[in-house]
Amino acid sequence: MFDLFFFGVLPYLALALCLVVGILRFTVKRFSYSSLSSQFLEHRTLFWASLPWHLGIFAVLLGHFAVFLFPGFFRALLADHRILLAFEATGLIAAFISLIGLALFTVRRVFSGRIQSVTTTMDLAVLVLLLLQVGLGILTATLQRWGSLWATGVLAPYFDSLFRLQPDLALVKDLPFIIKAHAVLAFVIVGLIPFSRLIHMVSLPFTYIPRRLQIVIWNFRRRKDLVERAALEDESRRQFLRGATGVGIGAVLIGVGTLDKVVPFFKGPDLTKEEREELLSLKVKKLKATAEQKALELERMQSETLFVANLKDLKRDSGTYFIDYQMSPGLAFLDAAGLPLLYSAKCPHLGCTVNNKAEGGLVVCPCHVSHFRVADGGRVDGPTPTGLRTIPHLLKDAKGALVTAPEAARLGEYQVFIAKGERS
Amino acid sequence: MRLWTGVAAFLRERFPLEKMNLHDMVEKKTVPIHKLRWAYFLGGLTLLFFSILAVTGLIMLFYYEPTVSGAYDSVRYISHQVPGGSVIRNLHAWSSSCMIACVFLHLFTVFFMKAFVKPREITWLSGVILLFITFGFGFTGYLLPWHQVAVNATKVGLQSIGAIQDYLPGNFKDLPGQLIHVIQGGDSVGQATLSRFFVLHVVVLPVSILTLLGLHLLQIQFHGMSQGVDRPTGKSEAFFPDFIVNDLRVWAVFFVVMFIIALCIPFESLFGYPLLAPFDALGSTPDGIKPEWYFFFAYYPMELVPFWVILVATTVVGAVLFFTPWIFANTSRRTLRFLAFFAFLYLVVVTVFGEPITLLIKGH
Repeated sequence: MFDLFFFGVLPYLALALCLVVGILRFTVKRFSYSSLSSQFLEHRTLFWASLPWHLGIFAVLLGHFAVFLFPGFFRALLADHRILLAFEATGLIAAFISLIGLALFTVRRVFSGRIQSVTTTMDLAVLVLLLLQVGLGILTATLQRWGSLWATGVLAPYFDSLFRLQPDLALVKDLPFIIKAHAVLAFVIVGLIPFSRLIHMVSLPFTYIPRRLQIVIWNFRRRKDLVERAALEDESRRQFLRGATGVGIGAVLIGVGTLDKVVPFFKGPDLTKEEREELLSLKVKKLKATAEQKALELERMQSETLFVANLKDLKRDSGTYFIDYQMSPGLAFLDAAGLPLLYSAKCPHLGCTVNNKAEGGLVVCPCHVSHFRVADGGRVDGPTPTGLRTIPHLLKDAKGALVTAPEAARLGEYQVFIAKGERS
Repeated sequence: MRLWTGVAAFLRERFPLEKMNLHDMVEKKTVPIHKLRWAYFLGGLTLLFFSILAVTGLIMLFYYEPTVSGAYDSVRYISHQVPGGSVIRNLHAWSSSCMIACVFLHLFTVFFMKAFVKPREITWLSGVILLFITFGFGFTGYLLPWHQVAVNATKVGLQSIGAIQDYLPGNFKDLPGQLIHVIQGGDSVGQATLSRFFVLHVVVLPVSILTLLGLHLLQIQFHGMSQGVDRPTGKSEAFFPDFIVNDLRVWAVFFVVMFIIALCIPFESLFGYPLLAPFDALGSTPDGIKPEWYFFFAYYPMELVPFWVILVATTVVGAVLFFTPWIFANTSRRTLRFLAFFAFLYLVVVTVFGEPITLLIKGH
């Protein structure tokens, strides 16, 4: 029964009152279409009351209408939790800002003697209703989260049904008391619009946004300078606020954007198990290679001879790399007689490692294109000052005995070594 | 005795400490307005890129690992896995190149605007040292990713010091080799080299550059902006806030452009694959090992002309750079412009066309 009245009748009643009385008032008492400014009676508190209230309530109403008008879009948009939080937080902050303004309005209405003399009962009633309404709104936002999300599924269809003239009471039947109270109060306020100063909201409010603030002031001759000063002060304040708002929004955006990138950077990546395994195996491989390198260095300190290769593995046109006693790369080739030819692969020019592929009996240093003969390591051309340093070799047979006179028939079983301290 | 009073007088003139207050150094300062006024922004722009480098470098330090076994992988980790890491690293790489380019332009404009004459000698000298420190940053930073081109180019760079030994008398022949050994911390480029370059890159050079930068900026505030043209227009703008705000505008534009470039073009896309493979101590040096582009002006001539020419040229250019305030004290701006133009032309031609010219002359 109550639901039927509050949600099935009251909305139409409020809207009808609003339209009919509003139009009547417009035709009969057109000049009463205003907020009955009291700025000339008191302007300091008014500034800090009016500005926050209007900014705050404008943002809040915009949020309400947006969600009611485009529920599908907002349901999709607010599915992202971060956007939802930002949306709700913005609304809540705007609500608190408007509440501050409203509180100041009330203080002004109640405690300023001058304002008291122009205050009507309706003014006070409107203030109380608005205070209640904003309070209920904040309670709804904090206790019944997340309003912007569930409203798309509950209130938006309900309003839709209202406008189709088939109010669907089932949608609002089970809503919590706070929400119902908030909605009912909203209808009441809509109904009161044409009876109160609230009517000023329909006096083409859109030009409020771009135009300069209106200053209402006593129009005496001796007050003329006051008018100009007030205009100047107001202008500079406007500029300052505009600039501060811009800088503030910019700073918040930059701050949020930077944090959004910087925090994950320091938090590190979320890796899958495969990626972690790959990283770790790479690490192990690298550590092993480093250990091998150190082992080579140790071996060069300790042993008198170093194994280079089996003689049968050496080729004429493709050198085998090895590490000499200076931990620099060396190249091992085979000469025409089938005996080893060992060179340092470190280019005498600037120390690059010479390529091991021989073409036309020449090897090349890739850094500055110096050519060397494979036959004796000599310089052919390029910026290198000398040829490649030859490294004397030793041959050992399968039993490890030094071979002084290699036999052509047994070359396949020999091993090539280099000896410590032997440099040419 | 007269020498010391002379030095004291010189320093007193360069460091007018009675001007060390907000009014003289900031409020009173003006910046001339004429058709070369864009040159006044180049120093600040260098500072912008240096700031980006300092911040991004510091951020990367949280992940970078200066070891032979870990350096390459940690850089890869930053570029491919850490969220936002690739942008940070790209910003660092691109900013380093931009900083060098700005430093060059700054050097040339200051030179042909004749902004180095008395009492601004110390500004010029500190600037020249800053230039060398910047090169030091480039050279040491190049090694840190420990890929093929990094290690091999460092090897080549260090070995070129060794070539000096042919021109030294008997007893000093070992000197360059020992110097290389000291820098490398061993017989070849290895862990010791990486540690040293790392410390140089993130501690020693930053501290030096900040100290000298302080001196450089202090001198600029002491002596104000040089007029820079033969016939001053007489117009000027206040250093604070007008010039500062304009400077910040330029910074904003360049930062956005830099950021977009860093987002869209990986710096490494300028190298081919084998150069960016991890350094392999046992393998052959891959083709195309080159230093960073800002060393081309010395690198390509080194391949073409005998080393002693390079040696003489470097010494002469270095000396001229250091003694510019005295050598060119009486030279007209017209002549300076002429000289700067040819030096600039040389840099551009060798940097951009160095490779084809080298190939052409060597006949490959």
